[in-house]
Amino acid sequence: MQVDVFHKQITVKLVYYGPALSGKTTNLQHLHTLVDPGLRGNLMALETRDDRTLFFDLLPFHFTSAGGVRLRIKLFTVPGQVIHNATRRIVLQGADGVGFIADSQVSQIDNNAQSFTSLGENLADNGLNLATTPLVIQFNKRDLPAIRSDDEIDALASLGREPVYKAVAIQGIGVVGTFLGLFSMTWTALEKQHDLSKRFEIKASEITSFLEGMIGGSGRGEVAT
Amino acid sequence: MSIDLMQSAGIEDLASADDLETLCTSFGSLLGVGIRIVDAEGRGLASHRLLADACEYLHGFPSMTGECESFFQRILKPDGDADGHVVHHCYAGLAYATMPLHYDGDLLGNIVLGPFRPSRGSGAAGQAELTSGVDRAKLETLVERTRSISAEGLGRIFSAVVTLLLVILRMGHKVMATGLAHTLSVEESYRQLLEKNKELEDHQRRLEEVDRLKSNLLATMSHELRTPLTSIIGYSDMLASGMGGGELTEDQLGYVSTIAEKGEGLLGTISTILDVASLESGRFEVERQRTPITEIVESAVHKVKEASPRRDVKLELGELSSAVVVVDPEMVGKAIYQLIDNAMKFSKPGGHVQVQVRELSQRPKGDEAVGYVVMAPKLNWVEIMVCDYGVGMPQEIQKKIFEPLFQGDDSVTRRHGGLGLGLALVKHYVAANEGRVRVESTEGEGSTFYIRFPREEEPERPSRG
Ligand SMILES: Nc1nc2c(ncn2[C@@H]2O[C@H](COP(=O)(O)OP(=O)(O)OP(=O)(O)O)[C@@H](O)[C@H]2O)c(=O)[nH]1
Ligand SMILES: [Mg+2]
Repeated sequence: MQVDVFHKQITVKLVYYGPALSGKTTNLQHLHTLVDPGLRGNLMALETRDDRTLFFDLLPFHFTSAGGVRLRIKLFTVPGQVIHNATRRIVLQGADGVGFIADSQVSQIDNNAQSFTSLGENLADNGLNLATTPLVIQFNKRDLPAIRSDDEIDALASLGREPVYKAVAIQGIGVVGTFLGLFSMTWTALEKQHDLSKRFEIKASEITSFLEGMIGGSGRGEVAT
Repeated sequence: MSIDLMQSAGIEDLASADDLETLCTSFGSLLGVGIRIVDAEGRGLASHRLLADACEYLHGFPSMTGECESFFQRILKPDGDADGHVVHHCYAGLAYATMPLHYDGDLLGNIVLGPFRPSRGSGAAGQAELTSGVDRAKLETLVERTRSISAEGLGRIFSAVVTLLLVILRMGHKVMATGLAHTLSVEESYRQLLEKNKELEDHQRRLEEVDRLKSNLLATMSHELRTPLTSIIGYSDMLASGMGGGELTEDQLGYVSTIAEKGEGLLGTISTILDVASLESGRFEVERQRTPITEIVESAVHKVKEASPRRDVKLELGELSSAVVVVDPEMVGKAIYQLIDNAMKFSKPGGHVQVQVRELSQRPKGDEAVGYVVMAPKLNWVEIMVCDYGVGMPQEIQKKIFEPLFQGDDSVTRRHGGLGLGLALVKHYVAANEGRVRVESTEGEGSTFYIRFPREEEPERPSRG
């Protein structure tokens, strides 16, 4: 988080992490289409010709609280391809919260696990701790055949620590829920850590209703129980 | 200055001065009006200047030039709170319009349009004090000559200019971000490479040193110990078979056989020591492949039975599993063989040893719960149990039993002699295949050894969600 007390400005960094082709960019693209064109920030996508993320994607949101505090949320994606590890590490620098976008296909189990392991390592290299970083997990591509079953994911999710969302990002299902879930978890953690509500005139509830107003409520997401 | 992907940039970082100049000139000449772009502090970045006749007339009066200056100072700096464009009237009866430029929530600068003649109804003209000597009537005629722009027209002009300017900024931003990300990534890769290089060099140096020492030691050990031992065994065998000439008494035969037998045992121990040593120096290759665990266990059981068919201990193969592991089958086979062989050795005559294979699906403990839903398939194990009802061992021995140079007190060493090294080997074999080994034991009741390996997910269990 970057805080500029003089200009009453807070910048929160969220990062979508995950294996190649899991749908990180698709999540951002969908969020982008939901935003009213007048309010839209630019979705910056730095990708190769075949749509693989080369460096990162960035979708910015900004909001000014009733108390005049400016909040900026910068949502990044990392490039999932294995060779881009250095870039992933850079994009993770100073991340306040991480959304892990996993691919539901059974064939991707290893890739998900490998990517998750590298997330831990790259966070550690940036002086961050996976166990204490706000984290949500999305199982994307629920529309495909040969995926891990709902039952299995629900059972495992109930044993794990973090919220798990199921999504079909190309259809926009679960995208908003994942994002709002990650943001509110991150904000809660930052607030606790930095006493934001005491130092700044900004309330979690007004941010959430702003975001919900902009991209729609979380009703469309399906949350694993 | 530290740069990072989170930084905000100014107009001058995102667009070249030339591009801004071109934008001003093309719009300015198309519309016949002056236009300038300034940054967030009001500093000029590009402009297309058109001086109205009225201005030129007034500039003939030295004191008016200062007035003109201070008017500009007031309007150049962007007003972030302004909603849309703002019209500023100057003392000459002309006007300028300004439009703050926002980009990604940042106030980047101001677009200033003018001078133009405000259409009626666009607010009262700012008729400031004019220096004496100015001919008001003349001034008004001159003002009439300047292009007039309606409020609506201003809206359209600004909309076009802002749109185009944002396109330029967005492209510039993308170029800047790409360049920055590229530079940072290359730097990071380079840093990683340097680090890895250094690690590798250190490692290499250490390995070379260790390797030199170890090879010497191993070669010497191998030679110095094995050669005389082979002679001892060979000669005692010869004696026992009567080749020494003359019959041996019963007692003598017994002594000589013991020498040969203990010699064989010692040779086995030495081979194990050498195996452990070469494992520790990392000089062995692990060839992992997908293998059903049952295959490995069954073949180890078979070998144990073959090696000592006359043992008075029953070997039971209990529950098995279809789980597949990715291991070096030979190595893991040796480890299992060793455990079963030990179990048989430490069993009472007439006793039995049980071997079982079970699949474990464990509940996450502590930080294992982080990302559990993703990691769980990698946290599932298959466990091989080797259970005997022999002498068992006390707690303090259980802790040390896998250490290569483990030595208990004398009585313990005597009772469990030969066990330490074999188990050190088991531990190495298992660890080299990403497995774990542990023991549970009660003195006088028996011991159970557990080896576990990560279980491979069977790919044919998909279902629709
Ligand atoms: N069937 C299906 N396809 C999806 C879904 N979400 C994304 N995809 C497709 O998966 C492919 C990869 O999506 P991206 O969003 O580019 O993946 P990414 O995670 O950004 O990949 P990298 O940039 O290489 O890390 C694209 O062809 C998407 O259309 C989904 O929910 N269902
Ligand atoms: Mg991508």
